[in-house]
Amino acid sequence: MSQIEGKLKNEKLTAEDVAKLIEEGDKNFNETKKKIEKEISKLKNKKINTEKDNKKFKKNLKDLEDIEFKKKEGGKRDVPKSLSKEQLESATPQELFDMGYSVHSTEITDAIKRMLKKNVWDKREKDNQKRPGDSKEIKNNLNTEQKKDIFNNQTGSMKNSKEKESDNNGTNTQGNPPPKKEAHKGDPYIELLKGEINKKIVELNTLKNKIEDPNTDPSLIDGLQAQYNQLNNDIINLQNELLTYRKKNKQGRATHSKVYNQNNTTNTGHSSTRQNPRSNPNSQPNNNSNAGPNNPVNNPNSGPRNPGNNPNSQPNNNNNAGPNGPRNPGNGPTSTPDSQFKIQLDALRVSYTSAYKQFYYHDRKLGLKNKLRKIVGAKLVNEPSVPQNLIDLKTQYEKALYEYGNDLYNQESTRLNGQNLSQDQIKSHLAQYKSEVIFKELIIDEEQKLAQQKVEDLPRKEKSAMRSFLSWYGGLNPVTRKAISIGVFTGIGVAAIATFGGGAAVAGAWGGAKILRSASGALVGEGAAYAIGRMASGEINRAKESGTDSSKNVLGNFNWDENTFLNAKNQYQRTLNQYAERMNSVRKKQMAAKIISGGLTTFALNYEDAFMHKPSSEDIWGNKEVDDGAGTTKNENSGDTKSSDNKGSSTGKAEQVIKTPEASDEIIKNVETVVSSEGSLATIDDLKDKLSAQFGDDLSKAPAHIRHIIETDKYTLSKEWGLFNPDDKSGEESAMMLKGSNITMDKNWNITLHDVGKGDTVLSGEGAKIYSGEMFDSDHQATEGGATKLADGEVDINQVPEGEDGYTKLADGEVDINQNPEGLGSNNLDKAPYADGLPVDQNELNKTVWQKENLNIKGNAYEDANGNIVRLDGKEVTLGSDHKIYVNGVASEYLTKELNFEKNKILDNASVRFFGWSGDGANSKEWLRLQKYDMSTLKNPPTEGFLSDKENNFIKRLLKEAARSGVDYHGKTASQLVEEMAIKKLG
Amino acid sequence: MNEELKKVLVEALGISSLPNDKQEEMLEQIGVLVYQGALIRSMEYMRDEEVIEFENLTNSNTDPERVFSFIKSKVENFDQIIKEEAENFLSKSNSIMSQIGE
Repeated sequence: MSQIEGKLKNEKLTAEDVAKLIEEGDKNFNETKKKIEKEISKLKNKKINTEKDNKKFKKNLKDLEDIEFKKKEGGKRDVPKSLSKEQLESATPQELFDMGYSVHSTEITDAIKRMLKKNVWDKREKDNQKRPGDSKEIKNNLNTEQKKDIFNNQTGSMKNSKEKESDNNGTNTQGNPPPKKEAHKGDPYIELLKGEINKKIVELNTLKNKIEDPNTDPSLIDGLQAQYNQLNNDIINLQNELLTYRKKNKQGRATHSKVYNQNNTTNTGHSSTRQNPRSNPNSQPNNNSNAGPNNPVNNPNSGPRNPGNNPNSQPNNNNNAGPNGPRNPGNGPTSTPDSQFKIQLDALRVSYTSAYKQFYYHDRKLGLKNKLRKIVGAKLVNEPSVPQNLIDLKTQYEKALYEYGNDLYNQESTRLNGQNLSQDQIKSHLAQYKSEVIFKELIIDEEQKLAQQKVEDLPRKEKSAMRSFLSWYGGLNPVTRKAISIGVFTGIGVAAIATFGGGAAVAGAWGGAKILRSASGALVGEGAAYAIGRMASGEINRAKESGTDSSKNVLGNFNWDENTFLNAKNQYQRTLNQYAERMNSVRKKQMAAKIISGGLTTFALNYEDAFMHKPSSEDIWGNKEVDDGAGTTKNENSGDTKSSDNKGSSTGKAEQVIKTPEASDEIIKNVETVVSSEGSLATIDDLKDKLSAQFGDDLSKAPAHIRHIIETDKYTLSKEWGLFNPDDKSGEESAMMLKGSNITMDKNWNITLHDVGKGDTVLSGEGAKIYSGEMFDSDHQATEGGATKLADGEVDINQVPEGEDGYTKLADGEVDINQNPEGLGSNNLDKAPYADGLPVDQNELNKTVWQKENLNIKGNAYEDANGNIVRLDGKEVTLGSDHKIYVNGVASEYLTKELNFEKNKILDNASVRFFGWSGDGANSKEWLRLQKYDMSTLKNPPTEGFLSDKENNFIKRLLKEAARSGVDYHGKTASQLVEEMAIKKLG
Repeated sequence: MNEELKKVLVEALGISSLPNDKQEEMLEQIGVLVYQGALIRSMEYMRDEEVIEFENLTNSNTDPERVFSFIKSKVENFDQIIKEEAENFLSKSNSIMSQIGE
């Protein structure tokens, strides 16, 4: 942790610090740049060029497609037919695909583009002319078998309903000759199978819609899902049966291509539906009208796609389709029923998840080994590396994702360009379309499909547990769910998330951010567990080593010239500037964030970073800072010292590696801290300030244990040192120290508590021990017998007034002090201040002192020998007649140690003040503290503002906000109040 | 919901132009996805009886604190897994979306 981080933590970031942040950013940026340049240089040296990459990539994809064939036929696809330029330009995507061209090939991509253009043109012209470049010309150059393939493919294949149409009517819409009847035509069993398959696909789609319908009762989802899976399996079995039957009866065609296409006649998506119909949301039965004349492959006059059940969707020929209704392809299964990109995506998703499953099961063996090892306490087996084929498939899958996304984008762009819109309108609408429709389709929906598939592939126990988890999660209240959901990103941190920015705020930093992200990804990957988490590094390494297309995907489309670097750097600096500025406000906002989170679940608080994230260098720069000053001590300031067994042990570890010069006499003198009457926390605060002052901004020169003190919140420290133990079952949670005690530091930087009359305890440094002195229950400090635990003339840190002997407990249970002092009854009670609501004006609120007549405390009361009430342990505090904050449970969790005043001073001097206590998230229960004191009777009265104004105002603000927001705070605990406010705010 | 974190997130995801309710809806969906991914990985670290115990826990309408405490007690690096899954999601989302319409 750097010194700047320490300052960030303490909200003391100055302009100089910001400059330093930038400087560090430069350094990091340049280092990263060098690394990347080095890698690029390596790639160049390997003489990898785009053309070669493309060829290699295409070959991989083709191999993938061949695998699909092999699964069914054990054979290999035909080598693509070499076509002339003219032939290529006139061929349809389907024809090219059937001739062996990869769905990823440039040829097919170009054909699709031509098709789209043609569609638009045809829409405008509204004629039904046959498009130029009919495939007849190509067919003339093909052999008989190829012609047969094309012919059959046109009548079947992805144009599934076309097959039925052709079969039934003997013609097709393109005017091609009627297809020769296939051998199986009329075979009742085949027809039966096909009918069954189609019927089940319809049912499957209906079920899918039900499952995806947000109005469906969540409790039914599991059942629907089970039905879906069953149907899915049935369809696969039927398809296999159909295939086997055809082969057995030699009714199917001999080529693998035929089988492939034939299989597609029952589904719109080819490989995906064969393997897993559920993965292809576009699966349609043969009689699905979407696959009919609207099929752009089959019919040049068709619209680009049917927007499905999205009411906003408009056909292309609808000139009224405005930009305000982006088509929503995610809202139905028919976004692009026969889009090559969609088919390609579905196919690759299935291939990818299949490979993942295989890997997962392989890995299960390792998992089981680990489970066994865990049982016997042995070291776990190292995580395996992700196989290359899985990485390749993932790369290809993600490529297909953005190709499909671009397809959607281009179609929308084409649609908008056909309307009377300005370029600005189009641009704005496309941006919205991308954020809303494409993001949901490509990122969320697609991830859901992947996740769903992965869950389905889990072993039975895990799958059952996962479903149970999802069901449980769905049953949480919305506020908690939202808090938990966003909490998953808190581990990354606000700053690091910003580097992922593709949005407007950080768009300018895209280049720089991308570089950092790549570096960050590599680092993250190093520590990743197996499976997908490991892939990021695998991809990057592969990109580095081989320079394949995946490098483009991982590293982004970055132009590696110097000017771009400079621009990116400038943009990056600007972002850093913004970030550094923001960090100050972030810190300030953390208090508010805590309010919101505080009332939610402790889980959220356990994820301290979720709401109180302390920006680290890792957050800022995307990598882990190495503490070169302390070598291996980089983690010592974290949770290690929290363990009761290791309290203070961090110091011992630190001094093995830290070589800090001895502290001078002046430093030693400056650091001495007198135990404060305000308590151990105030004492520790003072110590921290004094230590911090010795090092200024440069904490690197401080020994690790001193840095730990400076950088750790006072609550954690007081617990580590044993001065405060809120969990003590006997209730004696606070260290009792007498006036005159102090904390000093020696030349070796050891921090020692000198407890008057009780000896010394090294709290931090060499020989550190946990404080073992006397503890007491601050809620029951005075004894019933009247004996005080205070030494004569001393004032303990808990502010018991001095000089009062013979305290007597008045009564057990509740005592209303307003009934006790003479003359102070209900008639004396004025209307509560701000009974109608707390003042909005901050100045007015700051001046507020809650006078005695507005104060009603119930609790255990103690009086001295003269009848003066010297102490009250409040359990309920009433502000005025109806402003109440109840304190449930143990009062000490919410109240200061005691509420002290003298009975005879009540009328004149008593006051109550509220102090907020942020606790830096270390102790969520300590954030609200009340303190009542009589300034005139204390020898060492609390210093005004010993808690900062911010903290004081915090509670006031809380009450004010509650009043302002209409939340009834009567009878609420603080946490209840906060939770209600949060719920109200979040709706 | 932490507004600062949310703000940065929606910007990073490129969905800041959407209405607030849609943003939150998407963030919630993303959160579940990240948890799913993390849990799938985490269960590899659990013994069979722990997996069953986990299922029973979630079946009994337990509060989130207990559920996540349980996972963390069984899977030491759960926080790290969560972080990685979240980073992977952001990275993948950003990588893909940045290439759309550019």
